[in-house]
Amino acid sequence: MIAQVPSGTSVVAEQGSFAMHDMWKNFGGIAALSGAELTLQAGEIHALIGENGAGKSTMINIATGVQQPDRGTLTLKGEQVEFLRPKAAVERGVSVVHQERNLVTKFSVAENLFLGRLPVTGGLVNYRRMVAEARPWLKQVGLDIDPLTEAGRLSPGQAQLMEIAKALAQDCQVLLLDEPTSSITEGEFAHLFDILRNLRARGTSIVFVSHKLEEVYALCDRVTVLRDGRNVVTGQPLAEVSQGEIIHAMVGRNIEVLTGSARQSSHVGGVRLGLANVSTEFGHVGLNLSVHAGEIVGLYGLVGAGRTELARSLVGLAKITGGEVRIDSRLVKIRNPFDALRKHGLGYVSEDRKGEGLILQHSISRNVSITVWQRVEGLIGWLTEPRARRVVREPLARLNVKMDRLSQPVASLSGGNQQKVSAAKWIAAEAEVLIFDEPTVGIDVAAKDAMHRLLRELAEQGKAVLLISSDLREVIQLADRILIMGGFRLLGELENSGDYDAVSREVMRTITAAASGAQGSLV
Amino acid sequence: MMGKLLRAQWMPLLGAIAVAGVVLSFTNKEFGTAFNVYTILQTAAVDAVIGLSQMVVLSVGDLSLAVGGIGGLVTIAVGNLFSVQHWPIGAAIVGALLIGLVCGLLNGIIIAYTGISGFIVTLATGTAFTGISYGVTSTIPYSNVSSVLVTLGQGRVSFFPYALIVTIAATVLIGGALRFLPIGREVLAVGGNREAAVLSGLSRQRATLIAHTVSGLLAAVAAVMYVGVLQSATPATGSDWLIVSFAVPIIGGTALVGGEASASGCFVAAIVLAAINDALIVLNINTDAVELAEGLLIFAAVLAGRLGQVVLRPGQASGTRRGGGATETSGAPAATT
Repeated sequence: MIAQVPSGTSVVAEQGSFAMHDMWKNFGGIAALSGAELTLQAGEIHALIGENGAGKSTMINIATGVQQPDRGTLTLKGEQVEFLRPKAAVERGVSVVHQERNLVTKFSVAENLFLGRLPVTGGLVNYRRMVAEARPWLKQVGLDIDPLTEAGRLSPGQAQLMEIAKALAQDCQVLLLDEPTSSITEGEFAHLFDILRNLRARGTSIVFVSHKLEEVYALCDRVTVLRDGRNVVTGQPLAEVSQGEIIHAMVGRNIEVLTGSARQSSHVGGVRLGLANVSTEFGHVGLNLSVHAGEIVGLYGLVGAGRTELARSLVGLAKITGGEVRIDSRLVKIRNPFDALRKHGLGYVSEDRKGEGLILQHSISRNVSITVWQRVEGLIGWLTEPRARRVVREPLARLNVKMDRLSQPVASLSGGNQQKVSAAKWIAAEAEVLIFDEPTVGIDVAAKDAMHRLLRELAEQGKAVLLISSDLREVIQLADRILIMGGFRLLGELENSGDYDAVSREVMRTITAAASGAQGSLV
Repeated sequence: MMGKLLRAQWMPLLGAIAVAGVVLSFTNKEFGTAFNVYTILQTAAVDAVIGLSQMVVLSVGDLSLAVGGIGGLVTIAVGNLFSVQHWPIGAAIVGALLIGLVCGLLNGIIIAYTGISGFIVTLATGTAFTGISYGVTSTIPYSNVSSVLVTLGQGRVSFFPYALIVTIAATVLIGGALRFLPIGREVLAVGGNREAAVLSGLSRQRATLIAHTVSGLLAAVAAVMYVGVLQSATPATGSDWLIVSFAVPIIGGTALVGGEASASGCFVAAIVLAAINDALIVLNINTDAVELAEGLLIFAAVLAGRLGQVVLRPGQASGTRRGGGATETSGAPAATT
């Protein structure tokens, strides 16, 4: 659909500046890589894509010395190298920026920047020099903050930039970015893209891992696609491949690419979730909103707008300090998530599936049945696996979770399948009002598609769905109405016309008009 | 610097205790005497070092149940080397300190290179150390203690015990090392975020090893001081150190999960604990209430820390972090670094 060819590509047709050749890696008998290849040239941004489990992370781990390949060669500027430890890779100029923030939160930004190689004078850490040396690097990535700021206070976008600054400070020639945009705002990623383009112009080789093809097309020069640890596309210029072809390559089959057209709910019923003048301890004020039966309402906003905080307040994880919350026109006072689900049928699918949504070392069936213990209880309240399995099988099947058996630990599933299990839990619980918080962040195209189908199906069944998403495209595809939040207030509501350009213009206009306080912006 | 000192987590605690102390010294004629203050500081001197011993291990995100066990072993080592082997006292002290250091090193090696949790390893070694102490002495204390140690433990100028000099030195050295030595930063970085530290080329093994070794040495220093205070080297030394070793750093603002430590906090907390203990005795309150008071104080300290977090950083405390995206773990068991 939007195949923007990056302008000013500066692909230098010389030998690869960094190459991973014929990579093999097994984990306990399961092949993660089976002869994968990745060749980078100086001054290019190279997209590395593939479904969850395709081997992207393993490639990154090998490139940065976190893991050793069973077989295969690494070449840096024509010279064969071996990275036995992360430090070895960093010293040769190969750095990674992880999707999960890798910083010591209690340390200052400056110290995080130089972690592992603090400036030392006479055997003691020289803090003054550390701060002075940190400044130019922070400036280079456009971070205008005091180097002594505690790193834990940075926004996700700032933390990401800080990690790039760290890589630059280590004189990095090859920079690997693992889903850098999954948790930052639109404004932040425009800035991030500018910085990456600058680095490219200076000859840095950049690997960009992302599930968002729009971003890949907007930023990258060439693409390598992995499937099951093998290359399906190897270093092809993006100008020569269509999005459809890439998706086909990733999943090995055609997926109906969701069009930009809005869904039309056939039967919108009465109000199931209604908020009147609600305020919360987070500082939300005067919130009025309603979600009807059979409706998906999108709640869009920049990071820091207060959407997750609202969801958490609604299920009782934080206090609602004023106003009225009604579920099915009954006035409710929800004290905790247990109440929310048991008494009022309100479920919250957390954005942080690893931290809050799942117990990773427990089995799939245990994870799903956690919300429905009273239904699977046998004699004198004993919980038995067979009973649990009967209840969980149906929702798991509906979401098409790929698994070997129900007793398999959730940790062994791919990210997309983990997210499906997290959602299945609430389906099994037969929640009537569901809040999905960033349900498709960091999951692959096929899993995303399954989540989207699920949301639509739930609405068809007359449930009310509040969808929190930072992916405007997703909101436009799914929502009947779009609410815009900023600075802990609702800034506006619009009917979803399905026209991406028109809606996104309207959304951005609303947000920028309200953002005199620069809520959620970068610096 | 001054402002930072005033914002320290233990500052309100010190303030409260100072006020209570002043009030007590007016209402009770015994509490404010130089001798009584000396008694408080003497107890605090040893407790602070015990607390430092635990704090160093907490910093790296681990814990040690062997602080008391090492203390006991070092105590009887001092006694045995001096009164049975007839070593000069200087050599006996150095020898005993080395034993403490080696005990800590042993803990460190086992924990760093087997990956077994510090809880289990130090539970085992600590118990074993205590067993050795009792075995060597047949539970009989060495009562012939060098006059040098007695001076160290009992000597004073007015209210100021000599032992406190050792404590101040240890506090400054440990606090300074954690702040200014690269290895100190490494210990705190590993304790704060192990993954990030390792990816930055720091070594979890090295940090764990150093933390446990220094902890062993500090436990030994505390034991040597205690021999002087008690004027006897008994294998029972250390049996009641466990709670103190945790109470002192926690009340002093050291994070139980690692990454944050305060040596000066240990120093203040030890004085606070000793003063409360002393006040309860001076006021003729049932001595059984001492432990209750300690328990409440630990609870209050943790609560204050938690409240501070909630009030000062509402976003962080209520867990509104974002992202937390997926990593590729499908099929392949996540390989640890």
